[in-house]
Amino acid sequence: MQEPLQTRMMDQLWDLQLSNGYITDEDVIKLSRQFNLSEIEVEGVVSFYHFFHRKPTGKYTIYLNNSIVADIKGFSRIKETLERESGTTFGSVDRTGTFGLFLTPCIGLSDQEPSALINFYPFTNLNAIKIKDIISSLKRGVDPETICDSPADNIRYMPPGNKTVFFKEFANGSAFARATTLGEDGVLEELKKAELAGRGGAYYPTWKKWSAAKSQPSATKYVVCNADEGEPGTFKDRVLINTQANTLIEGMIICGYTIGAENGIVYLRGEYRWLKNKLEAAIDEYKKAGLLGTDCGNIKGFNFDIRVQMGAGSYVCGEETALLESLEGKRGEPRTKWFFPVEKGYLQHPTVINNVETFCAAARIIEIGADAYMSQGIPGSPGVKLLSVSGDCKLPGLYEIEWGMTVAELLELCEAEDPYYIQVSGPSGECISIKEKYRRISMLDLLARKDIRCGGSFMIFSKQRFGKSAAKFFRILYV
Amino acid sequence: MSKLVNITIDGKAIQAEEGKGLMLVARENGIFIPSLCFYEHIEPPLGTCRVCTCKINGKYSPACTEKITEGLTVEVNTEELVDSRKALVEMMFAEGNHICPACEKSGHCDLQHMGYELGISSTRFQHLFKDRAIDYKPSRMVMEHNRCIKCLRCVVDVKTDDGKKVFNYQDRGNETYVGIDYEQEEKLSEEQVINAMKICPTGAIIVRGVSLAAPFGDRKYDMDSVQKDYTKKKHGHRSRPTMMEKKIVATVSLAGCFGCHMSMLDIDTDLLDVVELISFDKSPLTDFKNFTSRCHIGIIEGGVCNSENIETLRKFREHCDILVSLGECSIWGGLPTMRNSIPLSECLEEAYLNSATSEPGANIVPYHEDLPKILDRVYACSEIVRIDYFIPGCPPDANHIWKAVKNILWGEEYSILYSEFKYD
Repeated sequence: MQEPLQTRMMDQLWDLQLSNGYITDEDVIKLSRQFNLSEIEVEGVVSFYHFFHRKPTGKYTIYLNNSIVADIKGFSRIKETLERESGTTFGSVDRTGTFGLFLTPCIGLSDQEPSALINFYPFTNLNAIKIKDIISSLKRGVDPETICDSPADNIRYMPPGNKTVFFKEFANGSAFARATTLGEDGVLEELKKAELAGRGGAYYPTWKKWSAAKSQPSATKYVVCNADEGEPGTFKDRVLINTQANTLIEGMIICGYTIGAENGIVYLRGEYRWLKNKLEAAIDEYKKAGLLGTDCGNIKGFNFDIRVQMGAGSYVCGEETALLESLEGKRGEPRTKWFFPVEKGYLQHPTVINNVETFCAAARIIEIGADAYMSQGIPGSPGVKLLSVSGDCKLPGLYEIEWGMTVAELLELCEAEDPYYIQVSGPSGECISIKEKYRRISMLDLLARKDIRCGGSFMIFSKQRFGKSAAKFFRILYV
Repeated sequence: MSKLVNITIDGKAIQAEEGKGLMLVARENGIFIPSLCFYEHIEPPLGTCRVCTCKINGKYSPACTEKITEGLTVEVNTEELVDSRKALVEMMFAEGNHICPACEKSGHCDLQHMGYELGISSTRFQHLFKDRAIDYKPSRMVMEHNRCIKCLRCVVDVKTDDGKKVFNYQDRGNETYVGIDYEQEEKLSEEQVINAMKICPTGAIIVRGVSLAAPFGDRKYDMDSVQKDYTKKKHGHRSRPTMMEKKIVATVSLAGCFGCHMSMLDIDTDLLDVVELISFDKSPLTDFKNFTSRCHIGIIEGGVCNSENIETLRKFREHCDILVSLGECSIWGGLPTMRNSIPLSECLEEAYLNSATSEPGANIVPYHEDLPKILDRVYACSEIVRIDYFIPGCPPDANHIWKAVKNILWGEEYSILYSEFKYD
């Protein structure tokens, strides 16, 4: 189905923002004519997103991460250096219009802080000397793309004995081939058996969501991947897209095949713009192999295509209905919970929205079979989970843990330094004390009274960190 | 028609259509669930104001976004729910600059009315007094951002004939406001413009020339509460108190207009009771300048705008057992707070130097050590000293004041009628 024009307004706004550094009054008028909207509506969309500006942002737009983990790793020093070297202060552009400095909460690089985005290219593990080098290169006219870092994946732990689920070699098309032999109901059965639940942190059973979408009579359905990983401290989806884009795509294809959808969309957060090309290259690879497009995988009548939609810096767009609004080219504000997305989602069509990790896990479960997947973990919470560990530890990075691991074991693995309290699942999750270190990490306990449910973020703080500063950052994030 | 299912609202068993909105079902069954954003023909419901929050199947959630299902159990009026609902509306009053006595929409205003329905006499939150500009640019409307509660009604409902939005949210988070499109506003018909003002639950959208069409007294919420049962409440027992010790009362008007004092005199024949039961100490009524004895009750009219007010108020606290804030100005600042979002220097310049009647160069801002110092902003009395009771209104109804004072002094049972609690 042809999507309405407004759904592509974000793309145009991105183009304008990147080419001019801001969105002019004329642009707003032009867009309102083009999409047949009132100016105030376009203005409302522009003013909603953090990365869209109505004033010039300089030739080099620098977004420095001011999250709590960055604060621990020397944010204030970096901030000072940046201001001194670039000759401007945060929130403004220098007189020559070269550098624009802005703060942004968490850019998904908590394992290599302090970090910043310059013209949306990542620069990690910053220090004063590095900043000086970068700024002087930029002053000489060097393109930031040529000097940016390629963030390390930092995969620190996988279940011993080569029992990793997510990071094995993956042959494109293998999971999909098995899915087609299982059939649509077979896929649902397999996911039900493996007890796969939404890995964004809500843990809604994936098979239920998929089968609800499958039972909708509508001819047009959508598969949406939520890659708007905005919860401070989490970066597992970044690593998955960087290393496992093909499993993600395959998970979406399997979902499309199961529910009868023809379109897939990956909503990628603005902070991960540097991953867009890589993801699109993987999609192209799938298209060339005939696994995307018309009659994909040689299944007659199964047409499925995936595109990438960029977000533009909005924490709330990780909420699924807000994400749908944003996909439709509107302000990313949560909808009233009057319908589930599987009933009326994107453009009011049945839509499955799942997290990156969920799609990857679904592809892997189909590939290796639910039985093999269930050989790890604990009863009621089988398999593995990816955690993004950051903060006061020697080995920040990605941990693929078996469900049921205790906090104490994880702290030992990452060589935590004098841990005192841990913020689990980000600021909107819970804060646990070191006294609770023998609690298991699992998805058993809905209200997290006994076990800990974790969406992905695992921030460790030592005794010297002041609880108040964390609270202050979290407050700034939400208002 | 879909099938009927059984639900319970506040213990009352009701049969309702499955899938229908809870708000409508409650309304059809004569159960009042307060709301500021719910509007029958907007679907899906907006769910923005949260005033309709109920306990639904044991969970707190807004009633307007709930569909009827078999066995639905709803609690509307538990003590806790009523209080949190009150808190929500109090927050709206504290967040915006709602100066009802100076508002065109007074008497037609859902928010003001909700304040009365819920019996809000003061807010437990400090007023923010945010500086917000009023948008006078649209040709037929005025956008009063001070009064907007961001309910989204106008954004969703007001559209031009070719389907374009006239209002839309701008910015985000704490800074969100409702912007208006000047070009599209021009295209609205007269009827559509007036509809925009009507659906606004506050006085944020004002249409030039017609906003005061209905005189006070004839307005929607002027006489009756929408909760019909409310007025049926038993009238308090009004027996004349028998021989009692005379109570000593002190009164004062700080940054007020003496309107509340005038209102006190309106109790007609009850004045005879007053003479019998009460003697006045320091008060404009007696013209005693200083306290001559300890008082049982001190009644404060007006907020605090200068150093002399602070001094007087502190003396009242010192000499009175109970302090009562009388009227809006005393409770949260009232009309004088209109200056709170403007720097003091600008206010003084406007009043003494740049006013229409001042001669250029001939006037100065009065300054002398004997003159009280003007404060940076107008404060509520409760920000300076502890206040025990609040009697709202601008001015409060005479009977209301007398009943409240009697209740405080002698613990006499009392109930207030809607017409006494509703002042405009």
